[in-house]
Amino acid sequence: MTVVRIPPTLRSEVGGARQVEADGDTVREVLDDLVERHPALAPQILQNGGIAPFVNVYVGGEDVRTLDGLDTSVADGETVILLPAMAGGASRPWAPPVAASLLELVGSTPLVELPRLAPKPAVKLYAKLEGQNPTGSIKDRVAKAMVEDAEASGELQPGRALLEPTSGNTGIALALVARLKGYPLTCVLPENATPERKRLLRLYGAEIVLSPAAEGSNGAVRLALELAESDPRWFVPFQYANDANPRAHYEGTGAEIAEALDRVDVLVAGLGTGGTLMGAGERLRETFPDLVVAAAEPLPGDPVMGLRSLDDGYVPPILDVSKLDRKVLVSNEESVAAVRDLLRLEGVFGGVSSGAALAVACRLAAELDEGVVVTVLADGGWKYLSADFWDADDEGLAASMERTVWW
Amino acid sequence: MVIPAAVRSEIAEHARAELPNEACGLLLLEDDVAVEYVPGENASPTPYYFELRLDPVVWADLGDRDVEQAVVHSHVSSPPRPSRTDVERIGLWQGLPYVIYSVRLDELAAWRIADGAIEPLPLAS
Repeated sequence: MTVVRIPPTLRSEVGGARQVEADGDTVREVLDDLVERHPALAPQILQNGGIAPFVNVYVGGEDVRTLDGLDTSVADGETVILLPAMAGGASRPWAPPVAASLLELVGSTPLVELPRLAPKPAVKLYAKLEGQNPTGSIKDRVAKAMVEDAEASGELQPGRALLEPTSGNTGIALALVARLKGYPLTCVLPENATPERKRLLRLYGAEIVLSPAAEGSNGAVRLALELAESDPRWFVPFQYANDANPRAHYEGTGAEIAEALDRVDVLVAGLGTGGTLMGAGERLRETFPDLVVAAAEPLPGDPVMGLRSLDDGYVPPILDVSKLDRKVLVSNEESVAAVRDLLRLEGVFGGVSSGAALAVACRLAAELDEGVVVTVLADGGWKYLSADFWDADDEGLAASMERTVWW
Repeated sequence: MVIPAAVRSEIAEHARAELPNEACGLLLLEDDVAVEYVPGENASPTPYYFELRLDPVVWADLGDRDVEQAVVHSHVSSPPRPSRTDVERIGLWQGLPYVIYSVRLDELAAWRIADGAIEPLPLAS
């Protein structure tokens, strides 16, 4: 015979008793016998063939979820303890009316409905405007999280310097964080990166090391890792393999969307490092279990700036492809058409990767009869102003895309 | 509900000690007066989440005392109002006193969450 201790929150289901008896050699048998004797307990402690989410079951002082679950053995005379599982939390940081530093203004970005782009009235389309972060992109979240994570672990201390292979938004975001926290930053980028990129990085205070144009972004990674090995002063955050990247989206981007909306059916984000899809996807799936997490992926050989085709051979270590429900290919031309529509119809000035995410979001929204689709727009269009697709006519668009070398 | 100043400062002290993460614990009440704060461990320590962990025998013994229990947790910077996460994870704590302390605002507030609705509980010291 086993004694089962009942918490006050469940005593009304057992006639007020503090403990009751049940029989069995395993937790499953004990709980089955328990609900047979006290049927009112059943929905509270067993759900879908497992232990209900809001109850913890302990045998020998251990949570059986950390042992063998329902198969955990229960010795005769042993006590089983039921307790409420209590969890919660603030979900999102609250923004003070006056910020002590620009770093406090990272995240908590607006979510705006895009009714003119939604394919049908019963499908709501929302965009998370990450271009409203301090340096104008979602990478502010990642840069801040990676640096603060390394500071907290003691790996990054005064006297060290940051080194990151990037020609894009991550470099600019890291430059801001590094400057405000007093670390020097060096960015390694391919020598054919656009002059605007190099100028912006230098204005934010970053040093620049150029890698051979022919090796592309992989060459920048190679050179950065070589430099880091030659001098222990360097700390390389390396966003593709840094767990602080998806965590920033779990605790920030995803939690903010979960807090803002009562329903989300589809989350669409561009596939870059995978950080947004992994982190925000995981957080949103906790609140909306039937969520579809969809990656907007550029066609192989048709690069969309800031995004990555998995077929090009590099899978970022933080990306677990099995956690993506959909992977939708999108061409550069579609991305540009979508980003122009976004500006023309909704007044939102997005970057090219935002166009890719939006194009996929519209496609998936069209597949639904009703529901809520959220897409994450990673940056604004300002850094792409020199591109000539903005005002090209439709026929000229294809030609202008062919002329545009994105990296 | 009455939370005397001495108990309140124990909650505040625990919440500050756990920074940058959220803190959590149990408040024991007799006739709606808090008589003891039992600090717990946050099993998922982050600035935006808590998962209350106490020694199960200790917690079960508390349940056998003639005291009412209230779950307490801290919000690091946001106001002491239940978030969506708090409402979703209320579980078996439905309808019972639920106390939140905001570290940044140094504010304590008590609530009752049931069927998705949040009701404030008047608090005195």
